[in-house]
Amino acid sequence: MRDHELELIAALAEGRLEDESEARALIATSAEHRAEYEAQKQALDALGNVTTANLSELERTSLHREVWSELRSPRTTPGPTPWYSRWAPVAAGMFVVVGLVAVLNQVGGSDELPPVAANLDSGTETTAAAESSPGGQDTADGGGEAEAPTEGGQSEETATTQVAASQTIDIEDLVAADLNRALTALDHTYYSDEAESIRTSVSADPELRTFDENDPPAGLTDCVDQAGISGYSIVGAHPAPSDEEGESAPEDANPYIVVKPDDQDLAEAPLAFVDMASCEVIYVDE
Amino acid sequence: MTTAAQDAELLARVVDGDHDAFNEIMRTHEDRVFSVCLRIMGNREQALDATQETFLTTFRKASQFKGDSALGTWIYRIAVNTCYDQLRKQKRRRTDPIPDHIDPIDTSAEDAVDSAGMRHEIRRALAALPPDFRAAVVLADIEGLGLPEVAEVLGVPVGTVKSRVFRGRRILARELGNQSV
Repeated sequence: MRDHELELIAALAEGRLEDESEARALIATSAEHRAEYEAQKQALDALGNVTTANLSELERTSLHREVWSELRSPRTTPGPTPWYSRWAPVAAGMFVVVGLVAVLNQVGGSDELPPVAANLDSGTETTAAAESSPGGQDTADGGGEAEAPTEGGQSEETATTQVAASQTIDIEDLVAADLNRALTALDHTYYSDEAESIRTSVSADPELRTFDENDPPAGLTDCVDQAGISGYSIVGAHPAPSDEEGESAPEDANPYIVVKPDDQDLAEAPLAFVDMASCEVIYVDE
Repeated sequence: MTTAAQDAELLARVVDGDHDAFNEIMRTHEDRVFSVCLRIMGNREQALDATQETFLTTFRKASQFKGDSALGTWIYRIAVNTCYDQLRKQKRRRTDPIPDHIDPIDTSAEDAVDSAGMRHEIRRALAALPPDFRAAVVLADIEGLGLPEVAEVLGVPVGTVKSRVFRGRRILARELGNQSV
């Protein structure tokens, strides 16, 4: 059933069509459309009997008591998040850059950067960046994220990175490392939950293939290509996670593209997420 | 003064530490926030927790309100995301700890559910919907928000909301015994 047909049938069931002739003709000529109309009507009738629920007086009292009790605790203030929270990603980024520069110096004047690519097949490998950077364990758990060297000498580079990075760490880096580790663990939770949520939605409604019904824009396809993953197709896109998505929503994260292996059903597929700004893989289901 | 300006002023007072302003926000929105949370969580105790967390987040983020949407829409958005977060936590948690404080059973609240016509089978059918679909159906078909406002609350395009609402209804009908879809 096409989207506009479903919309027309839903509008008929809601009783908001001025001219019902087109919709009536549609359900008169097709059993599938007729069944859809009956389903929409049945659900609307059932939901129409449900009214807005109010708090009881006891619940209202309890709500105010609990909220004010929490707000009076010293750690709750309306205002911006602490400075270290906002700067943690920047500090972590600088930490990685310092490590990378140190590696390049060790390589000995080579003009070329080490090859960087996402290797989805080596999901359990711990990358050089993951080993040396804060939150590395979580990166490895996420499986095969970007920055994995794809050529030989990986273990040597790993060791070099570790040594070089450790030489540049000062106490502020350690604080940033701790913050980033916590942040990355939350990110991992957030993205794995998102993947599960997408699969659940599809299990409940197999017809749902994408978040938007349109074909993915070329920009998204290019970005996925740039991420270096092949054999994956775009499922949809997600706006930047916002603070309001809950405690585990990553801070300062970009919108991301959701992709799945071509040869697997979305309802059961391990999903991968590609950062829309950097076009790097940020999460892969295990 | 416009509603948007009033909202902005109210939140500015909250940021300045005006408790009356925050009480006013709570009083205005608490019933509808609770109602949305109840329909999404399916349980009064969890809905009350989510409502509480919603207002705590509203207070903490008051300085971040940009006025791009109505205050009510912004608070709904926090409420829905709080519910998603709690549903995720529930899923991860294998056992619940025993709470250190239990309010007495509020029978009037249970009556309120019944008088609201939330029959058992409807509650069960709603619970069978994936959270994204459930939130869209609750906001559009129970709370009566327009599709553009639901889109704003959920942070997704209107087309996505339509898809979730229409397909959500289809699943709901199936759960209510309609085998033809």
